[in-house]
Amino acid sequence: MTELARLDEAVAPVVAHARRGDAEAFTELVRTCRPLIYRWAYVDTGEPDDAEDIAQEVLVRLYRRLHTFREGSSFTTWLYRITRNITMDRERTRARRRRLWPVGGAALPARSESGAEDAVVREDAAAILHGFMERLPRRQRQALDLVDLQGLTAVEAAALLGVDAGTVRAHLHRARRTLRSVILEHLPEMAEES
Amino acid sequence: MRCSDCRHLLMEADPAELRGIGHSDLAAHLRTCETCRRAARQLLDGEQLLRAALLDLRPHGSAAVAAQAAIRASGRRRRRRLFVVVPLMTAAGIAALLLLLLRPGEFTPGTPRPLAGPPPIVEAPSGQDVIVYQTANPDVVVVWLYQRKGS
Repeated sequence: MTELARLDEAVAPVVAHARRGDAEAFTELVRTCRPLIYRWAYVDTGEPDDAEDIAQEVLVRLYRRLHTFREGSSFTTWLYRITRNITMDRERTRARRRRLWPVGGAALPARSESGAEDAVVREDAAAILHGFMERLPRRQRQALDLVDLQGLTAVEAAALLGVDAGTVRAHLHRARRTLRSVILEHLPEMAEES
Repeated sequence: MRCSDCRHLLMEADPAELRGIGHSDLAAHLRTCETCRRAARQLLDGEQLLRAALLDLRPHGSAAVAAQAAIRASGRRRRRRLFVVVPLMTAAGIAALLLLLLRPGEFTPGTPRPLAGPPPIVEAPSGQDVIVYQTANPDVVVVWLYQRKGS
């Protein structure tokens, strides 16, 4: 079962209550889904500030349209489409700005220091995330995130992205090659062996 | 498969293949070659770091505050829509009512009215009188024969 399918099962009872106007249920739904909405928006835009704005706008639209959600269908698919539509609307009205985030920079949340080894792992993670955001074009980021990282099939990802599965696979192959080059750069053990 | 071919394929392989799962030549090679398996492991570890980093992404502020802000913003938009919709619906309702009450020349089918034009000639039998009504349907005329009083 994919991560998204597990989430669908987990939120189904909360969605049912929230649809009937239960504000506490809506808050619980937000608590569960907000990080995922933010992640989708961040992967799409590459901009943490834009992702914040988009995530909040998604919540407003979610509250207004929750009564139109058909129970029994995939909540996360419906939520992804709302997120994607809002992201596309924003792109149509403003130019994108690319910002370079320093390695180990603001995109990762703060954590308490727990040792040198953890700090190295965090630096590696930050460097790989930075490479993922900076060196992969948006479509490749989306394809790789949905398929390799969130466990969807190419057909499921294609349905979410509004393209055909062959296009998703093409983006995926290019994305893997670029991302794995980034990994080789930051995990030199493999580079030395090859 | 040679290790050099394997290293080339590692760069685009499905994550399951990198784990040696499946029937491809690459997966089969990884199940038997320790060096290439270690290389594949490094790539999987890197992807796991990325997965964890993306899972850790959080927007600022608490979910409860975000939910309340969304509910308030939605209420403001709903009130703005009502300010447009309610007057329109009221106006439509008044217009429909006026049409019902003030329709000119209303004629209920079946209710006869006095003839507007030249009546057909109807001769009543002896001892009876006749009244002729033209209905809304121009092909239908009501002829009322009644007993004259005292006859």
